[in-house]
Amino acid sequence: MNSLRSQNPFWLVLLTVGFLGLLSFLKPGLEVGGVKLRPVRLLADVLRPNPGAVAALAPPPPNGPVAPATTGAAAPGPAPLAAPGAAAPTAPAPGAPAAPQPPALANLPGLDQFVAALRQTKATGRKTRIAYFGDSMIEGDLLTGDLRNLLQTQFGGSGVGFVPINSVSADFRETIHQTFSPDWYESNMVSDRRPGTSPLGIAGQVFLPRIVSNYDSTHIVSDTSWVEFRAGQRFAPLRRFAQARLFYGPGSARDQVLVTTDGRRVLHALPGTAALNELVLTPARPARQMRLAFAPRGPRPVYGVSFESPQGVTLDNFSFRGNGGMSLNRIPFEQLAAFGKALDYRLIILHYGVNVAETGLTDYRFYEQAMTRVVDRMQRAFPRASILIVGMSDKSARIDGEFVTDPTVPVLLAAQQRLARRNHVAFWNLFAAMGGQNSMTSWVEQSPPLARNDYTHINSLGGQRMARLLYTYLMGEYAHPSAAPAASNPAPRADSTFRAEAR
Amino acid sequence: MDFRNLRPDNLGLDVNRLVDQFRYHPKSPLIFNTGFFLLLFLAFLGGYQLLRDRHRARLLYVTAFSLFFYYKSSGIYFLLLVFSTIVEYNFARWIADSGSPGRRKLLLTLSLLVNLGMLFYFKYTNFFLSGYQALTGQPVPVLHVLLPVGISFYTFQTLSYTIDVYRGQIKALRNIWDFAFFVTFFPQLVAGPIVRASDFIPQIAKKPFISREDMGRAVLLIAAGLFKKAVISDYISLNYVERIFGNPTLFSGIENLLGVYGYALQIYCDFSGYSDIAIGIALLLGYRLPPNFLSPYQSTSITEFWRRWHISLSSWLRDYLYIPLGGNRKGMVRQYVNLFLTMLLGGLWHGASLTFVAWGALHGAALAADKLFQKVFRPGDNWLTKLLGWFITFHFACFCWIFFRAGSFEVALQVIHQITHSLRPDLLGQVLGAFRPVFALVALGYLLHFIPDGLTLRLETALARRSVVEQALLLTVVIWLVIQIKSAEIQPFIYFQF
Repeated sequence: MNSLRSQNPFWLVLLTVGFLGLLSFLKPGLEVGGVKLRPVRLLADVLRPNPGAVAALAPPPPNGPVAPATTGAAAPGPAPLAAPGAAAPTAPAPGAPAAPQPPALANLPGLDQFVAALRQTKATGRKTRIAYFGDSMIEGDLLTGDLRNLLQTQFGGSGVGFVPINSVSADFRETIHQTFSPDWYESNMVSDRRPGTSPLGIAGQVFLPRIVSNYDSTHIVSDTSWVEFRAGQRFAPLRRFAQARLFYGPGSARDQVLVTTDGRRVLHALPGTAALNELVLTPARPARQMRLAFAPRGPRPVYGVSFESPQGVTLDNFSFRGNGGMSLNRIPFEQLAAFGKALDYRLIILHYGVNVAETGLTDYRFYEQAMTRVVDRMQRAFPRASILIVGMSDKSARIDGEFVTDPTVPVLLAAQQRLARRNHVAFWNLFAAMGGQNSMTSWVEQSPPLARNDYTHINSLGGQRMARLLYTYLMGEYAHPSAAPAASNPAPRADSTFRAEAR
Repeated sequence: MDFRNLRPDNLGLDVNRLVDQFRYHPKSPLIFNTGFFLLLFLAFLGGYQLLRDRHRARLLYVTAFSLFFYYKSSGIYFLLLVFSTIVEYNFARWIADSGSPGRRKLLLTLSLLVNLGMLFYFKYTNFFLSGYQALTGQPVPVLHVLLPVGISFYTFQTLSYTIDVYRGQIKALRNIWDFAFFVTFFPQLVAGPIVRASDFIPQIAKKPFISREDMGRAVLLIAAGLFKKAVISDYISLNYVERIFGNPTLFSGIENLLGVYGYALQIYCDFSGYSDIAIGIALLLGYRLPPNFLSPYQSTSITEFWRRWHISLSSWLRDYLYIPLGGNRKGMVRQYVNLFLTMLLGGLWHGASLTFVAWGALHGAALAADKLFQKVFRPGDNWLTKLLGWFITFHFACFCWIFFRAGSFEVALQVIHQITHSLRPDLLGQVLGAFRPVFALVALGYLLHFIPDGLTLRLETALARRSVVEQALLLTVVIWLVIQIKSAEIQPFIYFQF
């Protein structure tokens, strides 16, 4: 070994580059032991982009009108998401950055019932109720909180809507603060593979308070299952509880609930024996806090409490982590319909996708089929509601070290759009509204960021942005001249009988 | 292979994109673990070897490259580096030439004002403005000050030079190009180690010599550095740690706890890995930089931790802050206060945020407590006290990292709350199973961390005996791994609340 001559590192680096150059000649897509090898592209930064790689990322599904021409699609109304002066919707040029697009489907008659209800609300104050079903994208009232606030500011109404007894996102939800005793038994649509003894409610959950054995009729025992709500301060319409509706299932006639509202304690009986019962709590003065302690003598399913006002807009956030949407089929139809009767929805929003999209998957027929059933059940359970499918948001995959739209996203989006078209429900292309191809990357990387660094989930700023986009779209539909006038709104139904008996 | 097809246009070489690579892009600084750097470094080395025997030309060549390197990271701010070089060179010269102690002191003060003023302006303006606003309630405008890359590192380097000249520990340089070479030397320019003038300047005059041992050591440092930085750190950060700290309340306590352990490894791998590559690259050019990390999580006390973690910073703080404050010469209480203050400022050095100050304060308090503890209890030196010391030290360091990483106290407290209030250890198996590649890398990272130093030395020697082809093969394998990791699929988001 000759240590006296200085080594020449140039050869070291030259050889390294040479070896890497040789590796770049390896056939792309090579697999070793089931692991796909990534190509070595040392010159990737200075080479023209590979045309093949670009083609693999198909443009998002076409945004042209799909509804029959007679519905007025030929004369689009305000297209809030279009760039100023944009012409009629056309498919974007392949590879071009997607400009914000006008509504994907001219949603008439898709949103007729909703638009009519909203006009009625504007004219008479009569309530319009919206159910927003989603996954972790809307957890903690992200997106929905802002959307609710925009609608309540415009059309009146107060309250955060339906809140289940217990939620994993309770800790960071800003629109309502919620604590609960740890002794509730919960069963839900995602983690429970088999149906429980009590039917799941509209939120996909059912809760059973602990049965009280040493029951004392004079005063309710202290160690009961309880839940406590404190009004969130973020939005003005949510800062007080004007009215609370407790939804519960059947049980012993001697069951009681102790309701403490801003320190005032009132003991209520839970007499309902129907599959779904309601106890309406109207505090003398709008309250900031409400605590419910349950003393059941036997099994008593409890679903949740809805905070609302008798008029204006109510928007319920039904978020469930990890749900692809298909789990909604686990809610028994009778129970869904019972909630439908009680809550009289005028719009059902289904916002799913990120838990279904899987890199490399090119066939989502299983999803279309299962979701067709979901939509069908919703249509039957909520006959007075319009249904809106919100297409999935952009989600990135890493290709050649760069974050780009996951190639599976356009495929799933196309499936969602087909689902909407085949079931004659409305569709809103959130992916396009976000900015289309690679928009998630810019949402994560812009300052301040709008999305989290898993390149999938939005943060609260992103929620605000999405709510604004969706609101603009809904208002575009609302302002549409050919939409059904308020007068065509069918007469409201008489109150359901079970409600009276539960009071 | 048909060589007739290897024309640039057939290869798809895009001249515009090639030229564009040489421009400043705020979002893509020139860092060591990129393909473009490798190619550029190859070209640079070619020129470097040609100029081996021409001292002045070689220094100018490296300085020009270094300035380009810095321009790629910070754009027009490379002028700041030029400014800093000219100013400090002259201050040191004037200090050296001045006979009057008062004048020398004045010159040193001016130099400190310029250096620290620059650092404060670019790094701390908005921090202090918002602090002022919080205290007085008066609204102040937020300035859009861009933080020039590496400013904390090179201001500390030039400071060490001027102070050493003032103290008479080194002679002032008489050629500005020599000084420019020292200040701009690209391997450690943007992320350390902080090289002392006294360590580096004596090497400038010598003709660089790279022994076989140096070569082996450089290859090992670069390979290990790349593995730590671009394989372990980048992968676990993107696929796990960032998500936890992005929104701790979405995850159970056990996931948060694993996130904290993951972050402890991530920051070590990221920082020490990049340092190692810098030291390795400098070594390939024939310059020896001091080691910056010595397996810090092997420490059995917090005092030892700071002798092993970011050594170039901690020793800088010791020599230029702690000792001038009085060190341990002014009694026990003052010593503890000095330790605390030094670490507080050391925390602030890492970033303009109160969370960094808290991190520094925690470490400062722990260092003082450790001193007191050693003095009062004089614990024995057996395996049990060592094991206990290690356990406490490691977990304390991890605890402090929560504040270092969280970005705000709110997030830090959320992480702690999740760990203390909803740990859910029953989810451990599920979490480990679902993030198998992440935790395999975490385990590997910690395992490598506990390799005894002797073994590393033996590896270096073995590598030095190998031919350059074999050394290049090792580098190729590591770079290939880096490419695989860089393009690997992102781990899907999974919840374990149920």
